[in-house]
Amino acid sequence: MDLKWVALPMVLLATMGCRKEEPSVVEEGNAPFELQLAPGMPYPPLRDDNPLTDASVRLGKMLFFEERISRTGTISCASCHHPDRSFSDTLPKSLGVDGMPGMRNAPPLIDLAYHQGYFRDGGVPTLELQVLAPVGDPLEMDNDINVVASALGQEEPYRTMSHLAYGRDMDAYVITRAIANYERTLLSGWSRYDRYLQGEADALTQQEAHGAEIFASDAAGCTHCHNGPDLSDHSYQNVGLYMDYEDPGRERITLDPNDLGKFKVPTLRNIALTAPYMHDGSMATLEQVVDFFIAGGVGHPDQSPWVHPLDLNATERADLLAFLHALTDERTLDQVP
Amino acid sequence: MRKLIFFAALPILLAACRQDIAIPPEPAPTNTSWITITYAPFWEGTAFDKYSVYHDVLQHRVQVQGLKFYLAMARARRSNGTWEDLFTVDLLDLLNGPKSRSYALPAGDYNMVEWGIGLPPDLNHTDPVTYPAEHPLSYAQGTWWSWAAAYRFVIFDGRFDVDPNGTEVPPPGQFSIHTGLDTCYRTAQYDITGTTVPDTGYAHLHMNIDLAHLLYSANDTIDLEVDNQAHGANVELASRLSDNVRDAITVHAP
Repeated sequence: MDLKWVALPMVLLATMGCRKEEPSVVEEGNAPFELQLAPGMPYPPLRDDNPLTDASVRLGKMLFFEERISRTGTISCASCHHPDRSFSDTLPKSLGVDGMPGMRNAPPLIDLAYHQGYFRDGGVPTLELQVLAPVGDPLEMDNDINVVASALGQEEPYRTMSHLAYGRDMDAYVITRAIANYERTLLSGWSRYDRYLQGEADALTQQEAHGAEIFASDAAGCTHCHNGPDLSDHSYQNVGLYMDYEDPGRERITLDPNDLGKFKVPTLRNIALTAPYMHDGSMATLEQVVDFFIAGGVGHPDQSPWVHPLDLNATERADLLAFLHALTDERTLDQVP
Repeated sequence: MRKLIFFAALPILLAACRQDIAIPPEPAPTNTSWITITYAPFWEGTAFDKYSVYHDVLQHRVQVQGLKFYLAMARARRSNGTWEDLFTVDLLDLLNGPKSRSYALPAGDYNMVEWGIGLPPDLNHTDPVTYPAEHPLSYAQGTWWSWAAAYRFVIFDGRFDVDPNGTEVPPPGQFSIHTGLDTCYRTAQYDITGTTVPDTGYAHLHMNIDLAHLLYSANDTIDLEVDNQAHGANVELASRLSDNVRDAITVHAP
């Protein structure tokens, strides 16, 4: 596949993204949040019932870093989604309250505004509903969000911010909306590869540019799933990681046996920052991941047809790895000072 | 003037829509008609007691410690064949014994009541934090499955002992079978021929659920020694319990 077939969908989406829809409701004194979009990145779809306002995003950021959301007062969202790791974790499975390991590897929280299903199995349709899961999960924060809201809502600046953002006392509604809106602002697109796509021919080294060609080639087939502005089509694929999956993946949601072992295709943006890899964090390095895909998976009956042995020599492997490292954003993704 | 009458009557109507009331029901305003349903748990025909340890059909000792379930899209059929809505959704927690609810219903003769056990998809995939705390679909009810963005339909928890002569209380084994996901929704109809809702007043129905029959039916027996956990992944067991709950419910007029 030619490189243009990776770039073209991004350009089209960027053009579509210019039709920015204004929030339908803006509270008095609560200005719309001005999203900073990287060149070429489309304006993400937003929710009319949760306008992206300055107050809601700022409140969401405060809550994202608030450890008192957890039962023990020791775990915040940021405890497992580190900003300097593209909002992912360095552990195969994050540790929740009392050191309990989670069910899956914590995914990076970037470009979530483009997604249509959340968690690795896509079981939750909105970012707002997603917030409920880690707060209540005994393996994560193990808390009652209503108790959290009652406690935090009596304090400043939470009390004032809640009223400014949503015109009501802090409650589960406010917490879920605010954190969701903060997460919507975590947008990438600031890598050297993006500059390369924007016409800076020297933004990539020769090795990285060659790696990009391999990545986009029909032979490699990476772009069957890793395409679009997020370098993921957000589909669910069984990559043949195991013959027997302990984690049913997408099947847990759809109850379709054909979905066994399928997980959402992850973004490749900032992939160099998000080790360990795979849904269970079973691969420690990016080199291991690339070698796994070169080998073509274990041959699970439901394995994606796009995962097959690749005929890459050592130089090509190194070039592909170099390209993946060029997908790291060159600036912070946190748009809230 | 019509508006004034409407708003004056609205609180009365809303109050009649869903309330826990004593048994027998307290008198309601004379200008309304309604139906009262008493929901009562039993074990093999005897009033259920949460402190009792029962024997199931396999002679396992069983103590039920949690029993909640949703009913949804309830309606009653008039003798002329037309349907009247009863309620959209209700959540019943019968661990502590019977509960009665009253639902506004126009006067007339009725011969059938119908409802779903669980939640239909359009209710199952709503946002629980948008409901007030006392609403059956509120997050505060503790029925939300956050990983699936859906509700648990039936919560059936307790302890069991495979030794029929065991003495440990509570029994040593733990069972926790929760149904949910759209595939576990069941619908059922019940003959209530002869039920008349008067112009001013109410009719009374009894819904009995026999908890022993949650573990066995004419077609299926759930062996708690083997099948004792369902939390989304064990769909087959959840589906079996869904069928049994449907079959364990009877409705009749006094």
